[in-house]
Amino acid sequence: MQDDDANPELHEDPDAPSDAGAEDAAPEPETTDRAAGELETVRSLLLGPEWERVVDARRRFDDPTSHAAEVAKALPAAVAIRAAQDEALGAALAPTIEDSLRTSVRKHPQAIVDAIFPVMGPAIRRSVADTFLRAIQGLNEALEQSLTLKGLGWRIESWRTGRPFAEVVLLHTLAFRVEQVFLIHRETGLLLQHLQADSVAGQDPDMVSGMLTAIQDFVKDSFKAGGNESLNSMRVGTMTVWIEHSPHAILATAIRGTPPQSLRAVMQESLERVSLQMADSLEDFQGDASVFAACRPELEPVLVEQRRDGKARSKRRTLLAWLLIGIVLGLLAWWAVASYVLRRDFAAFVRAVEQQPGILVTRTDKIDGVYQVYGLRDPFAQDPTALKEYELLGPARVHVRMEQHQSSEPAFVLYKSRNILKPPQGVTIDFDSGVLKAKGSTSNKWLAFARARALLIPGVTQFNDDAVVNTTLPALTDLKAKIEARKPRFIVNTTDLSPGQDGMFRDLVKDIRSLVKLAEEESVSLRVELMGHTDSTGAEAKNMRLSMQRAQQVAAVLVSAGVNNDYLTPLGVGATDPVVAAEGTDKDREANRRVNIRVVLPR
Amino acid sequence: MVGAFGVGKTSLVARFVSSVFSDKYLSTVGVKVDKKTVSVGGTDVMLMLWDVAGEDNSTKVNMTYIKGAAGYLLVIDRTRRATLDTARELKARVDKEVGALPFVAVINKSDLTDKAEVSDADADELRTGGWTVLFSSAKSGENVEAAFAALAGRVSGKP
Repeated sequence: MQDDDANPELHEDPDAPSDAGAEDAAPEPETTDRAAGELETVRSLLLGPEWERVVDARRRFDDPTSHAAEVAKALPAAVAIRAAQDEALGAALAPTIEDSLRTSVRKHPQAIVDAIFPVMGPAIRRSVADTFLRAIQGLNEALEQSLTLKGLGWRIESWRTGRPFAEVVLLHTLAFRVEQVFLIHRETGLLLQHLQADSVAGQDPDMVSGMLTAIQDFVKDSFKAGGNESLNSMRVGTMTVWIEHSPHAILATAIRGTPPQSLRAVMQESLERVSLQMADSLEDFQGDASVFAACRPELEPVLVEQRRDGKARSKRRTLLAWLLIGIVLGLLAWWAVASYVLRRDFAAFVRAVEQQPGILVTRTDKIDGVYQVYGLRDPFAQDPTALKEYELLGPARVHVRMEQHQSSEPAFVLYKSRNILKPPQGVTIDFDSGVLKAKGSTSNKWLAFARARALLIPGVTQFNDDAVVNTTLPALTDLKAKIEARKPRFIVNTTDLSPGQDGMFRDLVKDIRSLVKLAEEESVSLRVELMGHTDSTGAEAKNMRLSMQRAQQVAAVLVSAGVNNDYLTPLGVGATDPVVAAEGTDKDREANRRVNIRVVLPR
Repeated sequence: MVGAFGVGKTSLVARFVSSVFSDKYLSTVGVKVDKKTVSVGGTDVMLMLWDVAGEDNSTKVNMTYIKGAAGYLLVIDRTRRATLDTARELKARVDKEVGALPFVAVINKSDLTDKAEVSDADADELRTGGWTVLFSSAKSGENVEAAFAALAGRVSGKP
C-alpha cells in the first residue's frame, strides 16, 4: 500500500490504459506497439533496475497465490504480537472457532469423542474429588466452629437471623464472596445475564436489575454527576455492590465481605470482553436477552470467593474433623457396647432372682435409665441384692422393690425348713404334703430342737423323725445301767455308809454327774430316783423316816458334788421292799439297808 | 407508568402483579420496578414495569426513568380533568426528550361514574389523535390486564 501512495506513476501503467485515452485516440495497432516499445526503452534507460522491481512488486500484488504465501510468512508472528497486546484477536476469532467446532461436532462426532476421551476421565474425577473436598471442608468448618465460643456466637446469630448455621459459618470464614453477577443493558435497564453463587437466595434478578438501574439514575440526577460519572459502589452492612460501566452495558456484582481491588480489574476485563464479543447485540438490543447466554463464560471469572484461611490450616481442620468423627464414632460404639452389657447383666440378674425360692418376680421396668424389679419375697428368702449378679449392676442401675409374703410353695417350705432347722451332717430332711421328714443319725439335741421348731414353720403340719437314729441314747443307757447296778449300803440305824464302800460311792457320784451333764448337753429330760430302804428291825415309822433320810443323804452328797437337785427325787419306803425278805443273818439285814438308784430316761 | 399524582398508577400495578419491593421506593427513589409476563399472540412477553412517581405542581416526572423504556402507560384520573391535561403535557415531553414511544392511555377510576370529569367524548377525541385509550378501574379490575396486554402488543409490534 505504501508503494501505491508513493509512486503515482503506477497509475500510468501501460497495461491499464485510461478510458479517456481509449475513447479519444483509437490509434492503429502497429503504431501503438511501436510507441509502447519506444516508451519501454526510454523507461529502461531512465529508471533501470528500479523499474524492474516496481514491475515485480505489481505482479506479486495482483497474484492471490503470491499474497497468501506472503501473509503465511508473517501470520504466526503477527498473531503472537497481537495476542500479547490485548485479547481482541482471541475474541474476534472465537465465533469462527466456535462455529467450526459446532460444525465438526455435528458432522464428525466420533472424531471429537476420540480426541477428548483421554481428558474426560481425569476431568470428571477431578470434578468429583473437588466436590467431595468442598463438602469435607464445609463439615470441618462447621465442626470446628461448633465447639468454640465464636461458634456459639454464630449459632446465636443463626438463630436470630433465621439463616442456616452452615451459611453463617460460611459467611464468617470467607474473606469475600461474589454472590451475584448482573449484566445489565445500559439504556433499558433490562437484565442480560445473571450468575449466582451456590445456595444464595435473592430477589428476582430482573427486578433487581431494574431497580439498580433506577437507583443509578436517581443518584446521578440527584447529585448532578458529570456526563461520564456514575455510581460505581454501594455498601450495606457486609454487602458491597460494585458496578462497572461500558457504553452499552453495566456489570454489577453483589459481594459479601471485603473484596480486593483486583476484583475491579477482573470485572473491567470481563465487561470489556463481553462488550467486544457482543458489540452488535448490545447496540441493537431489542429486549431478547437469550443471545447473551453466549457470554456466560466471560462472566464466570467474576463469580469468585476467597477464604480467610490458608491450606495449612485446612489440613489441620481435616485432621480435626476426622478426629472428632472418630471420637463421636468411638463414643457411639462405647455407648452401644455398654448398653448391651447392661441389658445382658440385668437379664442375668432377673433370671437369678426368679430362680430364688420364695421370690416371685412380677414385672421389670426402666425409669429414667434405672432398671426396676418388682415382686414378692418371703422373709426367709434370699435377699436379691446379696446375689453376685447384683454386684455387677449396683444400686445406681437397679432398684429392687419386693413386697413381703409367706410362701407355701413346697420347694420353698423345704428351703425355709432347711434354713431354720439347719440339719447337722448325717441328717437329711424332705417335705411332702405338709409332713417334714428327717432321716439319718444325730444327737438328741438337734432332734429335740427340730421337734420343737418344725411345727412353727408355715406349711409344716407334722414332723417325722422315725428314720433318725438318736446317737445320744446308747451312752445314756450305758451310764444308767452302771449307776443302777450300784447300791450303797448303810450302818444299822444311821445314814452312814457301811465301811469299804467309799470307792464304789465315788464312782457312783462320778457316773451320775456324767449322766446329768450328758443329758443337759443333749437336751434329754432326766430324772434320778433315790429309793431309801431299812432292814426289818425296829419300828416301822422310824424305819420309814430312816429310809427317807438315807435317800436324802445320798442326794445331799450328789448336790454337793455339783448335781442339780431338780433331777433328784429322794424317796423312803422303810422295810417294805427288802432285797432279802427273810433276814436270817446280819449280812441279809445289811443287804436290805440300802439306797436303790433308778434313772428315768424318756422313751 | 406515567401520569399525574394520584391517578392510580401504583394501584394498577398492584392489581396486575404482587410486588417484591415496597411502595416506599416511589417516595424515596421516585420509581419502583415490577415484573409481569403476558402472552401476546401466543408469545410470552416479559414486561418490566417502572412505576414512576406521579407529577404534581412541585414534582416533575423524571424523564431519566423513561429514557430506556420500550413504551409507557399514560394514566389519567377520570374524576380529575386536570390529569388529562397533565397527560397531554407528559406525552409531549416524552416525545421531545425521549422520542416517540408506543403508549396506551388509561382513564382510571372508571367505576366512579358519578364523579366523572373525563367523558367518553374526551376519550374519543384522544382516539382521533391516534391514541389508544382504555377505561379502567384498579378497584374493580376492569381492563387492567387488557391495558397491559395492549401495551405489550404495541411494544412487541403485535397489536
